Amino acid sequence: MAEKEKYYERYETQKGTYICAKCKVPLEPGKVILQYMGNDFPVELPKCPKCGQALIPEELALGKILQVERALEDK
Amino acid sequence: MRNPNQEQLHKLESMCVQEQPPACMSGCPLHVDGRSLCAAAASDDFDSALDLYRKTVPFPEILSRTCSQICRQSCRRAEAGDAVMMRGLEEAACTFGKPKQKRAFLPKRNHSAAVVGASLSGLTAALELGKKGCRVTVFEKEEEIGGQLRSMNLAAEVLEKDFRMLKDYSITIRCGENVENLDEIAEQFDVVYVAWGVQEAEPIESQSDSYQSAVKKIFAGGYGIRRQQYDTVWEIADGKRAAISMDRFLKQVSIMAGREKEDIYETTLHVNMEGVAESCSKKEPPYTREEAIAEAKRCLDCKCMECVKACAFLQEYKTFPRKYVREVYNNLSIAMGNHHANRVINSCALCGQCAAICPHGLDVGEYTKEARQIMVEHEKMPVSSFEFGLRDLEHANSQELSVLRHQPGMKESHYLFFPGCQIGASAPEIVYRTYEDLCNRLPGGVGLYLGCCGIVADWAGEEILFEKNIESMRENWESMGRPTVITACPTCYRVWKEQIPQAKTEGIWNLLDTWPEFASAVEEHACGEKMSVTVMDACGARNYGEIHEQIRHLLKQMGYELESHKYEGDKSGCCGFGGLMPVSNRELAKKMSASRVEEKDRYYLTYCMNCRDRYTDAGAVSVHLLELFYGEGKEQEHLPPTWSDRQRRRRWLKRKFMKDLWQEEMEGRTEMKLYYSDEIKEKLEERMILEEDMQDVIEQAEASQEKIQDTVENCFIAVRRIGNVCFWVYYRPKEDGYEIVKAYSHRMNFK
Repeated sequence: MAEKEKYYERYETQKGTYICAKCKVPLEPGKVILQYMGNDFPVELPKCPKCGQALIPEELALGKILQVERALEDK
Repeated sequence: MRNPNQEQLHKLESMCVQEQPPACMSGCPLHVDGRSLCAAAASDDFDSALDLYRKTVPFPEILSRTCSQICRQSCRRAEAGDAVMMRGLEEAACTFGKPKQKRAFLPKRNHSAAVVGASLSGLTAALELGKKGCRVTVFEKEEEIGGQLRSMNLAAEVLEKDFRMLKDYSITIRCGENVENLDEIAEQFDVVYVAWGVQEAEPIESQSDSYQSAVKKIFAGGYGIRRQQYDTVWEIADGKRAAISMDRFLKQVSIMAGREKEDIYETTLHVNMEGVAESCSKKEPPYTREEAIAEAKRCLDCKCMECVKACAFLQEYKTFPRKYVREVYNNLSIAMGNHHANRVINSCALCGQCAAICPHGLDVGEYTKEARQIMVEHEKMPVSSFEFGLRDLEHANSQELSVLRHQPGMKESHYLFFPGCQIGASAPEIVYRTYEDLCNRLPGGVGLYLGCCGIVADWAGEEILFEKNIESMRENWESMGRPTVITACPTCYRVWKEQIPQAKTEGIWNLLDTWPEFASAVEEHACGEKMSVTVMDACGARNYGEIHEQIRHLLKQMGYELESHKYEGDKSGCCGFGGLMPVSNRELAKKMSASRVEEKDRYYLTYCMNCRDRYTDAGAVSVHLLELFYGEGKEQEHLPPTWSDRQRRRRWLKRKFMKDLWQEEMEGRTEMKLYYSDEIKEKLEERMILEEDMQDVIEQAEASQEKIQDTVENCFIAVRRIGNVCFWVYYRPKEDGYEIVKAYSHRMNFK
């Protein structure tokens, strides 16, 4: 069995809450790579299984992401 | 590439006197920290007071009852009443404080020392050398120790309590032994201190700083040798200082290195005596506990902190310039690791108020700006700090918003109106009317130049960008035939004057002052009745006394009475816009604005549009000078513009000018109608998200259908990366536009 991917953050939502308007399918948990100043952070977020459109929720953007952005900028 | 300069750091550090000792301390032969002692006693903490005293005074019981209080000659309290009665407080510390029992580790040494004369000075030297681990022998010709001290009528237990300490060390006292031959003693011991008071024998001389005599191992000091008058504090000082010399002599190291400030000296600590109420000592010591507390409270707690008292930025970070410049230097010097001070450095208003207030002219802003430039040069400037402000600069100078034209119907310009980008962003109708009026009043053509002077690039440490902007301003000015520049912004005035000195630059306030009939007519329609106003000087006008004078002259001509502000003229602070503070540290910028507003019911008059808006935001009534001339009498009703308002108003201004004056319709995108609550408006402002950005996101999402449907909130979610930022917008389509549910952004990219 393949080793389970290690994610920095994981966001689970009720299936059907978010629907990709283009592909008309519900978003599912999927791998998204956040990138900043040459660093990659794999996270698991709601994502369209067809076109790959992902959603970065507000609490992640203004919480952890902001924190990491600032920390990297101060390096 | 520039690097942080240590020499410059040391120079700046030396300019800040905050860490210099208080006058009582520098003026005390033993450098007792009177300020801290008073602070401890004032808070009824006599244990700490005693601890402090014992740190510098070897015989606290004796000295606290006999000290001549040389410190009182320099105590600043004397300028408003009489000097603090330090001796009384020191005696109270001995009476009410409990001494800490600590047994110091004694270094093992093989050195022997002789002290000739058990005077207070001799005993001090013996005790100090004993503490350093020397074997000390004291020779005293009388039957008891103390010498001259015995004639001072001190209670036996006072002497006993202090002298008991001698027993804690390897100190042998041999009373009734008269030393007649110093050479003999010198042969038996490694070092000798002579403190025998007044002697009939040949006087012994010692060097004024080191106490060393012609014979290297013999030192001498105290009453009769160094002093004509018996004074216990000098007895102890001589003994202590001689002991240091003797110890160094034994260790064979430099005797005088680093002892420059051992004698009494004048401190450079600045103390502002303004507003200090008179007060005098109630009585002579000894004091009861309560009396001592009351006396200690008379201490002024001498500090400089002049710039800190005025500056919300220094207060916020609980710092003062000496400490701050060191922190900045350290931050710049980090090669690897976190730059903890980045946010601090990027939060200063760079306004220069500190330099105007500082008794030595230390300019924290100037140093901070240089630090930002170094950060930019070394690519260590956090991108997020100022990017929003720099985008604003770019926008103001873009084709969409900038204008450079001769007056309609004219082929040349004797004058060029450069109002400044902020005034157009806040009150475009004022700019419009001002320009119309200038065209009517001034001969030879008044050209119009809408754009930004680039100061934000300078604030952000972007030297190259700033220079490029100046270069383009110079070219534009030359292309207009080198006209006289008229500006309505004090910061633009400064930039034109300093960066393009070939251009003749005038402030609009000065022109208005030359039309007295206009000025006196204004009074009637602007305010109705004569009012008193407080001029809020702009930080851009610092060191331009002519602006301060012109504004005041003009207002007086208009019939206003002027009230003063604690910090005005060159000492005026920043409204909280300077240094791009609202972009880099919004919360602090708000505090800074509020700190400048002394009383909310005053009528504040500004001549910088940012000042007007920031003081209004802080809850004050603030009006821009030009509103009195070109406003519609509703000057008290304006609201500070949001970032989106600023863009919209600049756009409106350009379109109106182009259409009315040059009959040109501006092409450009149609503004999308966006609806949102005040709560969301505040969030957008805080997150620095523009309507323009949201429109970009929605337009793209609607065209491509790349959006997410939120079935719970019943809205669409779309994202778009614009520049270095990803903007997320949650929206619901409406008949003629969109309702914004929420919006946020981040800088991280994602895939």
